[in-house]
Amino acid sequence: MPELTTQFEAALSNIEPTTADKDNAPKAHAEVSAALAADRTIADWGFEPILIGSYKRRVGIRRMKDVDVFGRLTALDDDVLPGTVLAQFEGVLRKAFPTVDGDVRVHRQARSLQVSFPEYDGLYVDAVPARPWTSPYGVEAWQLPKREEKDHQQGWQATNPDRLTELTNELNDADHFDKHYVRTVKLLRQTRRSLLKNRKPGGLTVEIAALHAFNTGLVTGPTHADYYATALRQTGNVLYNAFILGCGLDDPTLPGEKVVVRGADADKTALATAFLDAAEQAEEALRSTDKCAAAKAFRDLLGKAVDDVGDTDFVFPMPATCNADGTAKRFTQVAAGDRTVPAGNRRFG
Amino acid sequence: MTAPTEDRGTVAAEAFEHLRLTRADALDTLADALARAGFWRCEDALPNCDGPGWRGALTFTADGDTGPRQLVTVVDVVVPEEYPFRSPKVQPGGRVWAEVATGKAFGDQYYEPSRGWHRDGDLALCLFDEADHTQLPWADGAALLEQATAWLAADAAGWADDAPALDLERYLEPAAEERVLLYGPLDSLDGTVLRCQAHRNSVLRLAGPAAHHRSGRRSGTRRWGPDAIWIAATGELSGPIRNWDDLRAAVGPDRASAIDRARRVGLQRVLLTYTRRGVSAALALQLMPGPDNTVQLRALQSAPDDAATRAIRAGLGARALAQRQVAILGVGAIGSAVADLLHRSGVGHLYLVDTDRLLPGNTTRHLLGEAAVGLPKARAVADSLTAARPMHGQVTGHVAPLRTVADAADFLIACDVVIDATADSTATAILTTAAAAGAGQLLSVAVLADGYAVRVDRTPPPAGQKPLPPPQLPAISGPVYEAGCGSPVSTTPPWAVWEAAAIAARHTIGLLTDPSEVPAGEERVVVFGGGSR
Repeated sequence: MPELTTQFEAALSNIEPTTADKDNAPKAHAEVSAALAADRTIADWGFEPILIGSYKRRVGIRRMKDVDVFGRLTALDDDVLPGTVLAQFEGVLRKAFPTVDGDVRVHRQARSLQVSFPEYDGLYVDAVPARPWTSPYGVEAWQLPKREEKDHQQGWQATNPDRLTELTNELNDADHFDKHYVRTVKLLRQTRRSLLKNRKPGGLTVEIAALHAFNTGLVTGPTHADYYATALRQTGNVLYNAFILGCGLDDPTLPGEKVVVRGADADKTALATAFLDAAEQAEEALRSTDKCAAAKAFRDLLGKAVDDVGDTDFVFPMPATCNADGTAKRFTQVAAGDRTVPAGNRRFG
Repeated sequence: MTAPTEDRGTVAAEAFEHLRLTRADALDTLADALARAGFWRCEDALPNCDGPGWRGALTFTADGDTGPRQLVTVVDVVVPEEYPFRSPKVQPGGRVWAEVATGKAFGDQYYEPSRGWHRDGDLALCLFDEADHTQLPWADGAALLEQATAWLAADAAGWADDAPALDLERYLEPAAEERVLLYGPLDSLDGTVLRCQAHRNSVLRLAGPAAHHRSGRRSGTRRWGPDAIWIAATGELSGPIRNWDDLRAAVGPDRASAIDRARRVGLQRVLLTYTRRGVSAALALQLMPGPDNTVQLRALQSAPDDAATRAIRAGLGARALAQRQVAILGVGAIGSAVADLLHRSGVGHLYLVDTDRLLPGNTTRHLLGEAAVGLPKARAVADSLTAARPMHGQVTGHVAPLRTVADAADFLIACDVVIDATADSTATAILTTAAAAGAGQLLSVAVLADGYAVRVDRTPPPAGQKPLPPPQLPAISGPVYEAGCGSPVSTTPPWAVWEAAAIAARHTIGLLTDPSEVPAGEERVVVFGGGSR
């Protein structure tokens, strides 16, 4: 069974966000947070920013383009509409991050403000306002503006990003997963990006499905390859139930709530199907005794990413002993028990 | 034929690429095995584990007071640059370290390995017998971990079947001193302080008692000179000497205090004699001041310098050979090489007989080189062998011709074996006649047909055997002459000379120790495409 440990380690390294992105993300986050905190109105709303998103949960993959500022408004009155909050955020941010050489740096999104940082290689920050909310199950959580254009009572959408961070850490630190959770989620996110490119649903949907998958107890190790193959299968099953059987995706942070997943139904179906197909290929690779063919299968699943010098390259390297087409090179294999010393060990020289 | 440089470059590049792939494949295979066992590759996230290694926990069963119990030990597996041709090092850690290193609590379940004989100088587990490296058992990562797990279980059980280890130097850092200390018999020297006398070739030898020197104008503090060495006998050792505390435990607190006092007044070396499972050995130590008034030990290179140590290398029959006498007639290329081999093997007295002098052309195949050109071969070889191994047997050179059967009979009667290495028909005929007449045991040795074959003939042959038949040799090619020689010069290559000499030495030692096993002769075709009979 080819575990290809060395190659999976290299793949994980190749999809890890660059050092520059890791350095720039907290700076951009701090700049946006500071600008919002300096505004009296927003401050009066009880502004308490925290970092959320894949960067915070360490499941982000290269190239990391965005960082989320979760703007908790702890003192916001119930009657303040999402549009009012977004407008205040927009005004403050446009003033703090003015247009440069005709390039507008602040863009209003459906439920957030996006601030671009050209000086940080195109990194941008999503500033998301949120107000306190208690779920019907008594869970203290948050609400952020909903995607609908018109503001009304349904203009807020429940979320609990801090809890998702906690769940991520709990799974990653669990003895039986031995730090493999975060690594496997990264591989799954890269697989989605490789197979479905820029189509929605995005990486967060895959991550949440993976979280449910790990909780089934059917994602098992001990190697990277084992975790990856079993996680593909179980994540595919979760996505199949959610999008093809139509059960929807449970929000793991809010009991009784479903995750609002963006994307066309066809794309959701394609995501589920792609993961189940990928699971089939990964399982076959693991069953194989042909290391090179197995490596080729994993290489195809994980696709390409931007490397350290800006070129796009495969993230999963072929073993040194394999050709790029999945065939084996000819060389002298050394295995335990080989008579590498033909005359044996009772020699004198 | 030499390949063009460009072709050799291509071949070399391909060979190096194959070797690179071999290593990459072995490393991948090891990585898979370690990952399967739940090991993590060292990286920044693992404390003090940033080298080319892996960290993981090994679980094994040991007998406890209340029956078998599961124990665990965390180890780092360090993979050497030369893997798979060198074994990875498996370094175990203590419980506190393991809990920090893994972030897990082990409690009483954790097993801390002993620091006894079965750990190397760097405290890695000694997993594989030094002599058992031919089949690279560690190339199977699972087998490596099984071996480490078995080591832990054996350690927990107290190593019931322990084997003696006499290379105590491997448990210590080597000293910076590059000279090697040679010592003779150390009996009755316990507690004495001797001098280490410097000799050529970076050798130190034990000399007479060391004397104190006085230092300071008035106080006259007595100090040991830098050449002093304390001889300390410990008897049977229960564990290796890794540090001062081990040394103190080995020699006893009083003796250790005395050595420490001597160290404070200049003593730098200790020669420790000990036994391990009844076998005697010695360990030379350098004493160095450590932090906080501690004493650090370093291993000095040392070796015994006596006849017994040399005799071990002479072969199992050396003791019997010491009582034997052999004459070698003809001290040319083969004769000088046979003399060398028999002298190394421990023959008690060699008589070398030849009238020739060594000429420059001889040096290509002869034992002696340019420095002996012009000297009589027999005497020069005798002097050379005696100088090279003065503790071995006697060698006497005779610059006298063999003229008559009576001369031959004298040698055959006086010596246990006479070797005819003359390749001279007259000499061989005289010797063979005398031996056949019962004067003694003759062994004739020669290279045939310029290196086609080598041959020895025993006269008289053993009872019931006939002499070997005449050799079947290839046609003679054009002869080669050189100035001053009436006969053609043999183009026999040096390696054929040594093959013939080795066979002659083997037959001679057989005749000296167990003649019944030695056949009438042996002929071996030594060119490729031939055969042997």
